Amino acid sequence: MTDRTPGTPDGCERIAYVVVHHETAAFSDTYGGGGNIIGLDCHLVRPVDSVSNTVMIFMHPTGGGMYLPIVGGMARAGHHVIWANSRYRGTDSALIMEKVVADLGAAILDAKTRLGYENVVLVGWSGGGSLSMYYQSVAESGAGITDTPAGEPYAVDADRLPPADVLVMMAAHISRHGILTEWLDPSIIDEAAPFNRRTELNLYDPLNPNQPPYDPAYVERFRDAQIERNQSNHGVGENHPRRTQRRRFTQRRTSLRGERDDGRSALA
Amino acid sequence: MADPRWLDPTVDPSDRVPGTCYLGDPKVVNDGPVGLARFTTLRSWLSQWSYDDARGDAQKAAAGVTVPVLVVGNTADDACTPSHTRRLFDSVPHENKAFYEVAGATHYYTGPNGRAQMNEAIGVVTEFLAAHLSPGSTAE
Repeated sequence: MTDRTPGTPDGCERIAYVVVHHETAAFSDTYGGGGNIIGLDCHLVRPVDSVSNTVMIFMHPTGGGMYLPIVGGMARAGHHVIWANSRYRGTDSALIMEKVVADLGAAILDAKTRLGYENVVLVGWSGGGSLSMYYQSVAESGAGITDTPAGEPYAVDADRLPPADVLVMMAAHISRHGILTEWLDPSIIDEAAPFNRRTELNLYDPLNPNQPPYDPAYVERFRDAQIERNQSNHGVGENHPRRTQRRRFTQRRTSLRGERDDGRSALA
Repeated sequence: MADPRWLDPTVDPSDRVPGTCYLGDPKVVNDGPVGLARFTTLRSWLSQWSYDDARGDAQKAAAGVTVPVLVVGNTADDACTPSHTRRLFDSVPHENKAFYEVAGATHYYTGPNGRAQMNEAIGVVTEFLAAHLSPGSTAE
């Protein structure tokens, strides 16, 4: 079965549109707007001439799923579907999850106010699952967002984060940091020399005495080593992002307050 | 990409094909340029990838969710294995939730039965919405 327009089921229409929202930030960390203006490219896919007061909204942190078969499939089944791209579509190297939450809030708000949908079903596909669950918890808390884990202020008021009415997780994982950790190679001793590996933790080294089927105790030890690599970034030492980031912000804050700059002595 | 799951079908057992993952041969993927967090800024590491600092954690977030939740997984998923799906479902604290697994389906519903498997999942979602949204408000 081939649709006349590849990617959009026959009998359905695909409307591309932009959701624009604003924020206060010191700088843009990705293209996709100008200054403090954020532009999100979104697709509404729905059966032609159908009316519904319910819409499904999909967002993935790094976007790009407008033509996933599940999007067209849902529309073919009669649903109104929005795929909203976050500002980080296709490139997650500078992604700030709190800003993705703000983007999702903007897309939901637009669907409710401009498009008039009463019910929003947040569908978390794959990496969109943990994003959607996190979004919903922030939205239901009514607390908004105040900062990022780097310690930078980032304010999003609760009224810009309307909660969804139903959550659906599809082919989803628990979190980006969680699944990354389950996939990390813990045999890497030095982040700057990734081909120096510990044989006993290298799954791909034929000299590793631990081979499938693995002893459960080995898997447990392996999982612990993966978590440890995520937490410590072996070999990066003082340049570990957490330390570097906190040090910088501590410096900046103390400098702004005109107090003694403890950060500078810590750097020496 | 060094997950014992991809090499040993007895770890987190499911219907997936051993020796593969959604990005290809895991041994090649492990040393290749495509994968999670290959390139990242310091800020992004903290917000997105850090085990201790990132906040987008579905299991923790679920504690604050009161709306109905449907979790649909695929038993041959070669990225998000069934243990992820199960952990998501178990973390939802209320009883207004449902769990469904599409037998034999991969992450992207590829393979000869992919279309049928995807439609099975869509049917489950449609049914759940009909039951949890007020009459007349589901798709027509």
